[in-house]
Amino acid sequence: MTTSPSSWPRVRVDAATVAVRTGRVRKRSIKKDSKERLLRLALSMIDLTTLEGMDTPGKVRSLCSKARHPHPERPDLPSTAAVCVYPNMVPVARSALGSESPVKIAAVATSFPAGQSPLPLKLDEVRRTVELGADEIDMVIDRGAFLRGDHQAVYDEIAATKEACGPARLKVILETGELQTLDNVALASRIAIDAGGDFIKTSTGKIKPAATLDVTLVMLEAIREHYLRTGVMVGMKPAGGIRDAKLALHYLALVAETLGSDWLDPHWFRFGASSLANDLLRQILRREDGHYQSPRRFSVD
Amino acid sequence: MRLAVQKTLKMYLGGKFIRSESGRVLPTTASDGTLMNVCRASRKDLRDAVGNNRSSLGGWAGRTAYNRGQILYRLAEMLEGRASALPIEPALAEQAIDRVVHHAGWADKISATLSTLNPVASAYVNYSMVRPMGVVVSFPDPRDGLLGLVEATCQILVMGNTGTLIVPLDLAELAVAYTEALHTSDLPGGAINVLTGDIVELLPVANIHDDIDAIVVSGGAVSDEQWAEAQREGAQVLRRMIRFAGASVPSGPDAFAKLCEVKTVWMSAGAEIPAGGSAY
Repeated sequence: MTTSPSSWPRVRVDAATVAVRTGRVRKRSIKKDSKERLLRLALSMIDLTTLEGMDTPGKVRSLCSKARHPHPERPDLPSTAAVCVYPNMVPVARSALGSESPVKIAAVATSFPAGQSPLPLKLDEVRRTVELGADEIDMVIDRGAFLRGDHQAVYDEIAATKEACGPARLKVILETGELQTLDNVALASRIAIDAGGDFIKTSTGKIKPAATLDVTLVMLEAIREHYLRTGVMVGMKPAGGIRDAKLALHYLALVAETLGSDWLDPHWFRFGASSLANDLLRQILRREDGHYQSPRRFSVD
Repeated sequence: MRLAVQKTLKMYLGGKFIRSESGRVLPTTASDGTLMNVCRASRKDLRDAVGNNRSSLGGWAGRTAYNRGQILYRLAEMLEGRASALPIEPALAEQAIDRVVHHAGWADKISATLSTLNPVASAYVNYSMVRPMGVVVSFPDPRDGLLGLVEATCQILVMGNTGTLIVPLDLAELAVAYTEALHTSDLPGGAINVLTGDIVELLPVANIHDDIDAIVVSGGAVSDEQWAEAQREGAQVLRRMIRFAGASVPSGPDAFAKLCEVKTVWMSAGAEIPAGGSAY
């Protein structure tokens, strides 16, 4: 476990400047060839997600087959990066994908989505989920502790979870929709990175607002700062509310501008989404066969 | 002396008045002599409109037919209140308003008119019921003026479809005045969108959009060559292609039947099977 700074300096984020920068990214034109490449890249970066109380093994199996072959008529299209499921569904996903699958299995743990359970329970959940076959763990931070100013507790919990993960990569969900200000997002990002998170992730998808370009930029800046200071790369995962290809391309432009093209890789950047996949397919196929596809032509997951 | 208020005639999409996302406008002189800018819809506007129609379909089709009739009647009320503001002769406005009332009456009767109890030769009851076709893109004949706009609107709405009207730029002033009435008529956003633009530019965009269930062309809105091309493209995705002569005769059951799908249900008649077998 790394040692923590005794206290984290307050971070001040100029929200107006952030809005200007993300506004500029939204207006950027992307050339046709790059767009074709980026649409496929975006597809390969999706953590195809189902996190519902009504999830069934059947639904998870169909999600896995969608992840492996997003559009079976077009086997040349890339698989998504991962599927993201509840711990109970990890064995189902593992048996559907097999042990050699390029599609990773991410599981939410630590009493997702609220995270309001005793730490030993959460750590036990993480260990068991990894044993069940998860490649990646998506944890939630204790927003209550963060907001009451107990940053050390947040740090310790992330660090302990990282240790419990063993070989699995850890994504730390900040749930930015509950953090109130961009200053808080910036601070929470730094705590999560210092505590050993392999990825920082915006949201659970259960709270609105979920991922926004503004929040993502602030988190990317924290990653950049850490990289410039230590040379260590940290991944980023915006999740929730990213439904169309156009918005996904804006995110990729933001990443390329802030962190550079090294991060334009499924190992370092993910989209937590489900309906995004179909819109990407729709845009990819339209470019290839000239028809603007009906959403009905793609499987519903 | 007053400064003249310059107008930008916005299009109507999703219950909102919008400019073209392309920013394209055509400066024109209005009927009262003032200068106005008319928005020229782009292919993206058409895609947005159709996507919006698709997401609004469930809400509109899910309303009771009675409620759809009430809303159409309110459209007539709103047009009546705005008749003097429409840039056309009062007699033409009245004709269009009467046409809306005609269709408001059809809304809760068309289903009973077109549905059937089918004769079948076995122990089943067999019903056919009409259901909305889905998302419709309609090109009203500009020569029909307001009557053409309300006819195209009602053809779509009576059956519970949603759709987009594409109106040529020289009819934009009237079309936009008409959307003001649509907007205040309790019609849910996205049931009808109205785009102003170039038909020659927009019809080919509709042709290659797979998520349009039907294209309706009235009278001389498009040329015969364009219509033939639209039919060829439509055949590839089994799109329903409908051409009406014009708006002078109001649509009745024959026209509405073209804008609906028929769902047929077989139900066991529950006949007792006599012991020892039967002739069934």
